[in-house]
Amino acid sequence: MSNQNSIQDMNKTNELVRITNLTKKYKNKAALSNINLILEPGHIVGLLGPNGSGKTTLIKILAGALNDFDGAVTVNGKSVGPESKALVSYLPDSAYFSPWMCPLDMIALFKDFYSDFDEHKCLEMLRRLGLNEKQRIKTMSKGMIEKFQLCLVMSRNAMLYILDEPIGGVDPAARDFILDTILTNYNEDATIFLSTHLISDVERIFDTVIFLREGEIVLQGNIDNIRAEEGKSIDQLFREVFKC
Amino acid sequence: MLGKLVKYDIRSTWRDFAAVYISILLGVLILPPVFNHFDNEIVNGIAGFLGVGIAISTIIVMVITLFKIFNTNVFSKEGYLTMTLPATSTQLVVSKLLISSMWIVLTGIVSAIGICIFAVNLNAVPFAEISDGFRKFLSMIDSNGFLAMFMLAAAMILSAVKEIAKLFLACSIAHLKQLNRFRVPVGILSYFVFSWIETLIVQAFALLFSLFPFTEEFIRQLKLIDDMSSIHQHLGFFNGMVVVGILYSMVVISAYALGTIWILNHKLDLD
Repeated sequence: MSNQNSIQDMNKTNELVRITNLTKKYKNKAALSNINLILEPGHIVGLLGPNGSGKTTLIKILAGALNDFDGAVTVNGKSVGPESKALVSYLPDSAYFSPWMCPLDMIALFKDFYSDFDEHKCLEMLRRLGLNEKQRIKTMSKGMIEKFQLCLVMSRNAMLYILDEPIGGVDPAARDFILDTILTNYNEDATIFLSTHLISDVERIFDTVIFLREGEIVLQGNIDNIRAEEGKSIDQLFREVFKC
Repeated sequence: MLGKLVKYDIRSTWRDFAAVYISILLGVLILPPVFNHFDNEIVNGIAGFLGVGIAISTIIVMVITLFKIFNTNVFSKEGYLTMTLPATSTQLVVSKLLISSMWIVLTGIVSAIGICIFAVNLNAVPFAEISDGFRKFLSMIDSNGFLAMFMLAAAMILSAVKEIAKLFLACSIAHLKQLNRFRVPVGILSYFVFSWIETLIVQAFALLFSLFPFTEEFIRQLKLIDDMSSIHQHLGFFNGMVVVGILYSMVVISAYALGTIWILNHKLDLD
């Protein structure tokens, strides 16, 4: 019910995420420089850029894993904090499980902390993946752990899904599986914010793209409009914009 | 939310402490019969050292485990789960301090039981003597005495929790991005700087206190409770001193916790 009210409020303002004058510096280098961004609900947004462009920094700030920055960031009108974290389903680029855990422990944790978590959906996804919910996570392969983590994240009916390089470091068959899992399991009134540098694999799922270079947004917009204006695919445009 | 955090902190820590407690119990059960085979003063002396060694190493392992719990749970990869939960930094820190308090109490109890079992198994002290001594001790204590003992135990526990809170803050400072390259020395240095500051504060209060006219009477009372055999005659003063110690620990724990919370709220940057 609280999610429904939130969606109604959101639709009034048409803003899910508002980022204003966001800057993050490390010593003398700006990881993010004066970022201004609005994300609306119901979109699949690709955050694209080469390594070191600031994608993970931006994502960490949105997820609440990085608090030391200048500027303002709100999710559904709330500053990043417990209320926004309850609305955000975050998949970091590496596993965050304790070695003693098994999938059932994590499912119980998610069920306890997130009211929008769908336990049955998660268990069903696990079974389809052939994962044993009682197997210790430390005995799972890297691929199995990544898939399980994705199942957890996508089993929430969140308002914002933040996925940091979900297909980096996995084989092409696994990439297709991950993308299909994302598309078939997310809350369609929500927004997916996905970072990657493997454009050709994910271009098909985006409706909005943001190009990030050296901490600055260099391109942003509807993917069909960009393709029409530029006369090329996003992958080709990416290679042009970020040519070494 | 705090209750849920406490529940998961217990679930993530009980295995480490269970291993420590089992090691203590195995040690105090297995070692004494081995030593009892040798009727030798040197061996008996070594056995005594070992008993003390078990107690000290238990404390060290407990402190290291509690530190690791905070460091791993907040600042390692697990931090991406912990710090993105819909909980405030205050709730996260309070949960870990509550769990630390719990394990400090339990470790104290297990260590005390372990030492008794060690002494009995070593035939150093017959069990009948221990239980007699305990019964005599209990019969000597009235309700005021129990209150004094309870407050003393609380003061000791809070003093230990104060050290853990200090460790948490030192760990948080060590993880500041600006100090990344010097993480370990900064953490260690921070801990000792805070200890030094505490000493300075206590000395400053003592100096201030000495300026008041009632200081001489206070020192006289202090000397009286130094003699444990007559302490029950000055229980009120003793309890007062213990309460001051408890309040001091609570204020310092709060200060360290607030420092840790501020860092998590304003300077968090997970690797």
